[in-house]
Amino acid sequence: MTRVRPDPDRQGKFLGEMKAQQKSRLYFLGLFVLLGLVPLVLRSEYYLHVLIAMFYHVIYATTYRFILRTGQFHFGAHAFVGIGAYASVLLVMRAGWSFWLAMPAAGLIAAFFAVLIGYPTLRLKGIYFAIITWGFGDTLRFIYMRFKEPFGGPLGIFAIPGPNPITIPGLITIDFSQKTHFYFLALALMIVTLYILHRMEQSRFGLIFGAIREGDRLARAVGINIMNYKVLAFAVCSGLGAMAGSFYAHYTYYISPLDFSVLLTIYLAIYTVVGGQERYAGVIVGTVVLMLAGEVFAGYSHYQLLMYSGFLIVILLFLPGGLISLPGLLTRVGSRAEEKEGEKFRNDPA
Amino acid sequence: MEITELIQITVNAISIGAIYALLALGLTLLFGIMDILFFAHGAMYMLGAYAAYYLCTKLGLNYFVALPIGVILIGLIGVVMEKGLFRPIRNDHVAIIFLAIGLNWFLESTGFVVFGLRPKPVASVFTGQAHFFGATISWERAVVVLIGLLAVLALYFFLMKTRWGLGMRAFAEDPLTAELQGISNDTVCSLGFLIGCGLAALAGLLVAPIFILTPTMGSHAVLISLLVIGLGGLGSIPGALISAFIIGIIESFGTSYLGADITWGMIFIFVIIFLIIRPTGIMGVVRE
Amino acid sequence: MTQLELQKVSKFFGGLAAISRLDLQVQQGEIIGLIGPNGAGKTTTFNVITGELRPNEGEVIFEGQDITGLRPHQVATLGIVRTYQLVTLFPGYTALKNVLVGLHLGARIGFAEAILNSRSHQRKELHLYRQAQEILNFFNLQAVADEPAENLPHGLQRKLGVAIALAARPKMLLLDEPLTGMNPNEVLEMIATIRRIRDRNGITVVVVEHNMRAVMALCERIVVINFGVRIAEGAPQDIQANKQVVEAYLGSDSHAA
Repeated sequence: MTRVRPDPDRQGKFLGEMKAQQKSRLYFLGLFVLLGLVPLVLRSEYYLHVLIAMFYHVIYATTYRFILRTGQFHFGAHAFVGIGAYASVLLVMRAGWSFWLAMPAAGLIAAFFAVLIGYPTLRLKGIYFAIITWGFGDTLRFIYMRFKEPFGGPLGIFAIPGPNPITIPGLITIDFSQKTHFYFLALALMIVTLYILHRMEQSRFGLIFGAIREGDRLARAVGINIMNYKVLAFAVCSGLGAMAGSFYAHYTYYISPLDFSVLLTIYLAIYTVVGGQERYAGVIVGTVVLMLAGEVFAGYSHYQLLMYSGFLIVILLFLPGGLISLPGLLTRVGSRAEEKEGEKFRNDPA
Repeated sequence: MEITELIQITVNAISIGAIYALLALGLTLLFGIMDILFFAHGAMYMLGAYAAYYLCTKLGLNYFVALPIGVILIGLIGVVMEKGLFRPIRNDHVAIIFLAIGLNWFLESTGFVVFGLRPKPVASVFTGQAHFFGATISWERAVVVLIGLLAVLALYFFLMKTRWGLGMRAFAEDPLTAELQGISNDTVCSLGFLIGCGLAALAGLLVAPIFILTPTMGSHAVLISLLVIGLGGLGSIPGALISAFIIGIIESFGTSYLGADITWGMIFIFVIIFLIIRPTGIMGVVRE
Repeated sequence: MTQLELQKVSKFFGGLAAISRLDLQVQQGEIIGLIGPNGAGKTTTFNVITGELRPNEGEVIFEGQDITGLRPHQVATLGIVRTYQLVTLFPGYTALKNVLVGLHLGARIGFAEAILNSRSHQRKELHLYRQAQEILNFFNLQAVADEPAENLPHGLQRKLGVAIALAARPKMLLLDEPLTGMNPNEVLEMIATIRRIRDRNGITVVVVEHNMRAVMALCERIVVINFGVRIAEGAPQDIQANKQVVEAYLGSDSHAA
């Protein structure tokens, strides 16, 4: 290759972008600190519970969306969350593991199942994938219900112990006897997950995932093994979702097959579309807004689902970019003329 | 095993398979022609069953009068949905799937609000049993098989022999060519929804006297029909019919010898493993 | 040295032979033209070499290794990279990002380091970025580096297509109609660029092209196929004088004048 001196300005810009990416770590840390202050202000157990539920749902929804963005119509998020919950509960209650080992192990087990299901099915059109993942989820549900030993049958598993206490000698003991302890655990899990997903999107992996979406034939022609990338995304996201499932089990002390029905995936799909799947922040917005709105109907699940699905239909028809596209849409109305100007440069390859 | 027992189980298999075939027919038709996975199919089936309840039990109409009324009514709801909701986003396949999902659970939760939580009964139209070769089948199930068979034949005749059917098949190959044959794409899509939703409603109306009606019956039916058309090969009508009867046979034998719940678990596992090994189903072509 | 060899390769589509018992040898470091009337089987030949189509019979040998039936990304990994007849890019990405994707095979970035964004990872990213810049400069595309590929004029899109392929560090480039839709000036520039690619990096180039003048100017050796069969082979001047070739073109409705 010829040695051409790179344009110094341009390189400066690139370095600046990389610096900014490094800084993003600070933003995540800042978010953690900021949300970490909430329990100091907010004493209500109820509000803390709403926030905790929001945190693990954000994990479910953002990992779900990442799989969607690899072009796969995933319909079995509930399967992997369920695997995480059951695996970790059984490891703790039957094998006597510590929660802190069981949770990552549950994530690995779910990732293993994702690889197992992913390799034969991810190469197919999204619809087949939807059928298989939904069927997989319901098969698991059937297994949980049918086998009382060790899954507890239709009634599920009771009296799940909370996470093992952590003691930093002379400083603090976190024994999960209070809501705030769970709050910090859920918050930490969420921030770590969001950071991993953020890096997956910003790094070279995100570049390749996008390239696969933009043109899979060309991606293959330059040597990209599309299957490996899709399986990687599927396994990592399923594993992270499963760890949140494990948290859920040890937080609520009780799981049953009903917790992991297809409705969970439907909710995640709704959060994703309503918030806007183009951007990563969209899903978070969707989850937060809808879960807050859903609190109004807490206890009336039919009305809640009615509202959610109605919301979904309205957004699909009138705001295809989701809630996150709303501010951009409003500012763009003014600059329509500029956009038209830009059209002129567009070249029709036909 | 005695021969009469075998015949009995086979007869049961046919009657179960007929219901699944009817359920899957509309779904696979919509997929084959428009490439839409119409999740709301289940809701249309549920509405069909409730139509039977309201028309027969509440209004006291004769079952055979209620049948065409219900089918046409719900078919028309389908057309309205196509024109009002699906047409604006016809080219966005991901949005269409989400829209159908939204509709299914929207109608299901509406069903809870409107129809209530309590299961609704529809009185049997036919009582008594038919006997042949030592096997018995209740008349109402026999009617399901009969009408199901008629529906398949009518659909086949429609697709193969009529101009509209030809237009629909041409649309499945290439929408532009279909347009050139003088049938507008809009007509094809409306027609597809009319027939697809009509078939779902027919299935609902037919099972209403046999099953207990609850609003969630739709989502359950969608999963079953997805398994059926997945096993058969997406978009393939013969595939759907074959796999409906395969599942019917497994269910019928399984229930007789192993019990109902374990049978359904086995069907799930069977279909999933089958699809993982041969993801295109029995009749499907590979679409990567 | 023979770098790529097709041995009696056939590909049928529903009983019709797109290529039939085709033999082809490509020498290391040459620029070879593959020409023939429309529907002669040129693009099918490319598809068979790169693994997008599996031949019904015959073998494809690359650097002594049988690559028949390998999947496209594996063939690319071995060093055969292609461009497409219709402009194929990552349309929403900027020109720079397009080339960055093309650099995939040389990237070697692990999942963990990408997530942790370690210093060594940042150095690798910067290195890739510099490579992408060099490639853009090589194709004189530096001015449009931040422009989305879909907004570029046709001629630049074609160039970018070749730039992406070159970024994959091929040993052999297969260019499917790289000059189509270009004006005479762009054609001359592209011919010069293709020659430079070969001269500086020793990359073998196989070109399918309808623009006969350009093929004659660019290629050192030309293979003519018709109905999936090789009908002539030789230096440009021999091909121009070959009676069979002239007949093949006159006998078919082609815009190759």
